[in-house]
Amino acid sequence: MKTAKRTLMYALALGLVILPMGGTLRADDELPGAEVEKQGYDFYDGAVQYNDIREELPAIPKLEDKIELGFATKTFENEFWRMEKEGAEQGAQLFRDAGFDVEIDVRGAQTESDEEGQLTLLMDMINKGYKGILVSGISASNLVPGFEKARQDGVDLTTVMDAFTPYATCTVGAWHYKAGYQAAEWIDKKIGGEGKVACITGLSQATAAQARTQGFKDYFEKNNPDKVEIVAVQNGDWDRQKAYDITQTLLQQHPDLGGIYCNNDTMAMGAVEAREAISSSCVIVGTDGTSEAMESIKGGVLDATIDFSPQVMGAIGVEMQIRKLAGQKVPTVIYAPQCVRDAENIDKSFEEVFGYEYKPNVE
Amino acid sequence: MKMIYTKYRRELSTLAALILAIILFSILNNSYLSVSNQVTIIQQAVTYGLMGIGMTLVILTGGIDLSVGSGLAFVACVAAQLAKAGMPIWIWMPLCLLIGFGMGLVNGFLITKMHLQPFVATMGTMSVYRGLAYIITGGFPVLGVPQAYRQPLNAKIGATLTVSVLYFIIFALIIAVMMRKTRLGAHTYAIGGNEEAARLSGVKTDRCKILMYAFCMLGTALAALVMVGRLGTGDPSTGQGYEMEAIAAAAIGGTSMTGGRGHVFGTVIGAILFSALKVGLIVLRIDTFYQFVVTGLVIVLAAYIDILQGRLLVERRGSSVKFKVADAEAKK
Repeated sequence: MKTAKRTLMYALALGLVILPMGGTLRADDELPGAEVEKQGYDFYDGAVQYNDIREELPAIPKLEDKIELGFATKTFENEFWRMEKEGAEQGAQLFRDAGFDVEIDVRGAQTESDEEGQLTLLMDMINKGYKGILVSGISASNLVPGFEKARQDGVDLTTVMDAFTPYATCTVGAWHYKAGYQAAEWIDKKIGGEGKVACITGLSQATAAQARTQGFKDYFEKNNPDKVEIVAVQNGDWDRQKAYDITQTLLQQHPDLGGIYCNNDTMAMGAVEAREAISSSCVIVGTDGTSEAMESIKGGVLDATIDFSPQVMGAIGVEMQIRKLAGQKVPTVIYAPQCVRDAENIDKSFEEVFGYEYKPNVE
Repeated sequence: MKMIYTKYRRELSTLAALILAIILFSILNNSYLSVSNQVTIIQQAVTYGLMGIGMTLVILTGGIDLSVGSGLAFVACVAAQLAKAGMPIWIWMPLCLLIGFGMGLVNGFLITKMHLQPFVATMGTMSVYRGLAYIITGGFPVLGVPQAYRQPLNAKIGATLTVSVLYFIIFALIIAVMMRKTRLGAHTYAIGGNEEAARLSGVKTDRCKILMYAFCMLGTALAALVMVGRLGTGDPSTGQGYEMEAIAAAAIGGTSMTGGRGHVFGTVIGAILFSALKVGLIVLRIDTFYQFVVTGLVIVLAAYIDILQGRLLVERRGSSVKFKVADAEAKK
């Protein structure tokens, strides 16, 4: 009797191990973004920049049917996602102006870590029968059950900004690697191509921080390996105070430090305070383009940030989703327009920086 | 001498670990020992130290406070907003501290009067305080706190040392005296040792515990003010995970997680050791991923050294007792 029980237990345990393995094997090889996942979102060889393909994209045929879209974003506590929301809604408005019947339902998770809540609202959108859904998953995996259901029900998915997922047929987002690269390039120019630099990173389940840091390192390795030395790559946990502490220590250790690149603007603002406290001439560059950072640049405090233009990104996400619904084929990965904002171009509009005003090309 | 050793055994072992770490880092990199570097270490210990001291009080009662990180964010946001609204500075600081104290009272009330477990109660208030911080700020950091408010917290006294270090020392001294010299302190240790026994011998356990949670948040509120002084910003998303750093400072400093044993000075040294490690690893250019491992190892090691010492002491006492028994028998 005892042996029988034990055998049953082992069999069950074995079953528990094998089942999910079989499940993942079956699902993976047919996903639309499998190849991107293999190469890494930031390094995918089929990726294109929106600015490059903008003029080549065919006109969108006018759709007569009502189009209901969903957008499951991260929390609106974070300004960045509020801007994404505005962008997506403006994007839908542009289509309405062109005679489309488009509605978009944008909803955010409650907090940065509300993974279950986000899944719930995605499920709700699928159940409502939206034809296409834009998603920005909190982590790489929290929405997977929803993605699977969407595939079953034939709902098309577009990822916006973060947490690339192979389930989506298209991803419109920031090119994190390039952001680090752009920041490095800017710092390199500012310090006259010579000196010491450092990087304060964020750590999270997202790969964005790693890609940004990698881009920063690669720039100097490729373009200026001899004269510029990266003296530190330190984790600041996306936290203002921690970035302050690290900057204080770094400037203590290397009074001649030329520049610091921070993986986000919050940390950059902490770093700036530490620099101001000892009046060093070290330049500080952030990432994201939050209003706080922009104001600080206008006030002549923060030196620069990488602006991901979240509003245009959200609008492009809507455009690509509608293109797919209209039967057009779109690239799997599209990097949205991004630029360095510094004292010189801080007051310029999107159009002045990129040379065009965003507008979907409709027939 | 021996008495000091037995009384402050745990604190001394943390101090030994701190000195050891400083020596080790100095051998590996000469610049580590520079005065300015040492000052930086103490400077960076202030926030975690203030929160750690508060945490020590709560842990001494056998409880825990997980809400300090969120509390820090809330007080920082309130402080930044009040400062921008132009509140007179002599009301501003005490009021912010009082708000912190009040938040602690709420924690204490939930735990004593409503009989919630400290872990659950403070996990709840952790979420509430964070939410309130977001609500009052609308999710945006409160920027541009006027210099007039930052100065009293952030004024320089020396090259990189700021006045916040003085607040840290004064707060530590006040709490240390309270815990060693007053009845409230003695009662707290008694509760941590055996709450039922303390209650039966007439200690007002509820009142005492509520006050400890309040003092814990008071330390956090002071840390929040120091942070506002440093950063000039009240950020509602700040302080995430800080409760763990505060607990770690207390643990490294020799505070027993089961309550009743530990000392404020141990936590102060623990916080400094923590910050010495952080600075040291940056100076040595050690990859961040390894820093997590090293920090974790130090926590485990510090706890183990403490246990080893305890065992040594018990053995010695045990042997002396044996001798006495033998002596007594010989006399017969």
